[in-house]
Amino acid sequence: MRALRREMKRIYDQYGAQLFTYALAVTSCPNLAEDAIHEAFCRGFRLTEAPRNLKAYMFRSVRNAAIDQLRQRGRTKSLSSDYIFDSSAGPRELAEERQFKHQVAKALLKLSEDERETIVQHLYADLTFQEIADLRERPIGTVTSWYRRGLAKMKDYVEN
Amino acid sequence: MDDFEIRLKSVPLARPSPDMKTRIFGTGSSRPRLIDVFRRRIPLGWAALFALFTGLAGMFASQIWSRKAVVPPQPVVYVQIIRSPSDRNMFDFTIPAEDFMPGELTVKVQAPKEI
Repeated sequence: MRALRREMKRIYDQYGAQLFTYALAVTSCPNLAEDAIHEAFCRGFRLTEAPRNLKAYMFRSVRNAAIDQLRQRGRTKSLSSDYIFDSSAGPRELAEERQFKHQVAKALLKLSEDERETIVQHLYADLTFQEIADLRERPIGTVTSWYRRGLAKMKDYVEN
Repeated sequence: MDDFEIRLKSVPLARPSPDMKTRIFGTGSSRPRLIDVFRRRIPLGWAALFALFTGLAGMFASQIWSRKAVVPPQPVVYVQIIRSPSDRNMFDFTIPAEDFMPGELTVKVQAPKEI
């Protein structure tokens, strides 16, 4: 199982931010999101054999852990848009970029949970629509429509 | 992927706190726990092979252990009492006697030729 542990470490290094953003999209709370990631990896360590698609498995596991966290501790206040994207950008960041980032974060928070999760999974975590459909146990058509609808809403919000 | 998607994708995501990685990977031992060894899933073929092997090994072991120790044959020596000071039959143990074969005996010892 050392190979699995190594692979999980690689997933964390490569997709840690995406997993965190995804957990944020579900829980709307940075602390709950971190706890969900921790719980998901702990569950992964208990696996007796590696899943076929570890990346998709980890996203599913984070989602399940995030939902468990919400059930246990209840939904907290709504998420601040400052938490979604990296706010530690240097002084060289243009004001326009900062503005865009802020708008995107706000737009993301205005989406429905399904739309927000799908956009984070597909756009930021590079999961295919088929992987998301398998993960969410929904038809691929539903997933693509969540994505398209969410994207259109975001575009509308940011451009107007 | 259109321009808007590319622009969205270029926005850097927030990362979990720096100690998160240590919390997940650093504190836990990389060695599997003992309980995990017993939880490990074993293929049916391996389990059957293991059962067959242990069964055969058990049979051989029981055969080896049940085999009695080989005692080399002792040479047979015939001792013939030719003369005894007592007239009574000393091998009649129904008659109580204080001494067994008292006095001086005259015996003839006959050993096998190979000794």
